[in-house]
Amino acid sequence: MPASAIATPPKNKQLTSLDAKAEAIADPEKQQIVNNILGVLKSSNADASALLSFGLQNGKIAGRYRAGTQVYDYEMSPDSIDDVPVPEGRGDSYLRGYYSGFEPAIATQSKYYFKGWLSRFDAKSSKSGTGFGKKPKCTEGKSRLCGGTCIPLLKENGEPRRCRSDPSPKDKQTILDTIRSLEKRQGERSPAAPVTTTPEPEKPKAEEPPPEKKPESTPQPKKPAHQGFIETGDRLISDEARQKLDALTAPSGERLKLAQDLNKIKAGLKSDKIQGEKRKKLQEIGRATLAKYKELEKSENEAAAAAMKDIRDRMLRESAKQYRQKATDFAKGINIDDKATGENQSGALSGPVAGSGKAPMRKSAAELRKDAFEYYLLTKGKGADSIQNFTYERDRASANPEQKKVDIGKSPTKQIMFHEMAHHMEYNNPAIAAAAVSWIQSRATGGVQKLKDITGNQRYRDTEVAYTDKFLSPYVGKIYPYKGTDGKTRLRPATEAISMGVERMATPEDMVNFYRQDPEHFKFILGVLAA
Amino acid sequence: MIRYKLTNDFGDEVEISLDTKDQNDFVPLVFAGDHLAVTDVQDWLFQQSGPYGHTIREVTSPADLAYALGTEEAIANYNPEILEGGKIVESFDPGISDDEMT
Repeated sequence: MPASAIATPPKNKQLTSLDAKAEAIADPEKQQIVNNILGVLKSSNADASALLSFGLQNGKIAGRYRAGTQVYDYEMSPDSIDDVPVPEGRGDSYLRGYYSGFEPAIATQSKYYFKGWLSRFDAKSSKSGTGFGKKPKCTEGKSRLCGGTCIPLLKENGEPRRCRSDPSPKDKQTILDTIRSLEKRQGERSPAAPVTTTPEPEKPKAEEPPPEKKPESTPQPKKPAHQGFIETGDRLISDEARQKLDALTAPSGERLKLAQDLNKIKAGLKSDKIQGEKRKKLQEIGRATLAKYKELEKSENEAAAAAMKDIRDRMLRESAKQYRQKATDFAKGINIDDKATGENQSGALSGPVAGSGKAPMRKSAAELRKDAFEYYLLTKGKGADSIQNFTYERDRASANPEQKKVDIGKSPTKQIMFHEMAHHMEYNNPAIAAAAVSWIQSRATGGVQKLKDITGNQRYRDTEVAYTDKFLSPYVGKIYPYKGTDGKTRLRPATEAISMGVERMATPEDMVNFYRQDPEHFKFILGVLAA
Repeated sequence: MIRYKLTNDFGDEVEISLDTKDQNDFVPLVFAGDHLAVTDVQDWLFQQSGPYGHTIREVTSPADLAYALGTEEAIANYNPEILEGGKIVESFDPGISDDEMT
């Protein structure tokens, strides 16, 4: 929907005719809500014909809208709209359900709202007797329907592949603005079910006023490579998890009060004015407040970790349906150096193991393969092509995709294993590496600098450089430049953003901490894993 | 052995040590001090990363610990002082070649 369409006079005529349809609604509460919406639409000159339905679903603003000839289900996030085309085959039931509250005559006008869509449905449905067979079945997670064919979800550079019938960002923004304005005016009202406004048919072109300057002439800004991943990740966070995570990141109620009290006490103790017994007393109060705060934080952490576990388990279950055998073959096929396991010839661990509290953690070959199996399922095998050897050459773990190996180091925790295997992901998927660099650059608040300058830690080498931002660690912004044979500096397809992120997906508790530290980074990684 | 003393805002001290002489050697962290103060330090420390991006856990290296305790946040909240083994972490070297990633 072009932005210029928002204030065109015929829209108000449409709104006037909608009043009559609102009057026909039998349910008084529903009618009141529709009237409220219409009132807002009239006063804001919004494009009522585009917003088909509006309401609350599971605590989120959701409904349907039309852009051009396509109808979309939308769900509103704080800053954007996530939408999916109304699937083929649901059009008729949608119509029945949607128009059930209004006079039947309007059903005859429905073709205006499904122009293109309904005809496609009719033409392709073999049951209708007019069709040419079934629509193609796209591979979930890899492709989607676009017209009569399946297209890959992502381009080679990692950007989401657009279908010509997708709504433009401008369409989305206009709808978002309309819904926000509705939400604001609706105030405290919370309808239990989605509420519909009545759509109006498009007027014949002859009745339209002279078209305004086409906004299409303004080129749409190209979507950055990482954005699609962030949006995908955001969609994977359930309402329940979001609620619990929000409670953690923005404490309220008692925990907020305790945090404020702690800050006051700490500020008081930093002052030299409080000394002697008064100081001791304040320290005691501080300890007691800290203990209460920790207790509350712990229970909120546990609730958030349970929600994260649901997200993680769901991803693993979904992946296992398709990749279980491949994951098993991958894990079994890795060559594990004898030195890497700490096992003697009989298979027993030669040294102290995890949990002993006395010595570095070592793992058996079976435990290392278990980590590899889980990594494969979580990432859907990304990077697996070059993970063929686990070695133990140096104490600090490292990855060398060109030599197809992971040096697991002296302490191969699941987190470290995931971290090193994830370096292979970028090596095998240039699109992911490009998205990682794009994300780092999008967050950068300055140019590339030496890590020793960014951190103030002079122990880094001069060659270690990174983009600066408030990442969860300055090392997230690290890039790997190299000089080509032509003398020009290029970037290796490697960052730390992916590996440090995937490491933090190793357990639900890690995921909670990750989200707390950098929600956008978390969503980006979640999207990468799901892609 | 590398050993640090941390002091929180309420004057409680926590000692952290790693029994090794190699900056990239991974050994278990040993904490000593008041329970609440130790828990508070652990909750914070186990979310920090070392100089090469590895998260600090129950098992870590002197380089990772030195890096985490050298940040502005650590200094502001815990005022870390090195008690022993400072020479181990005078410089950082992951000990890997340039074509590998940590």
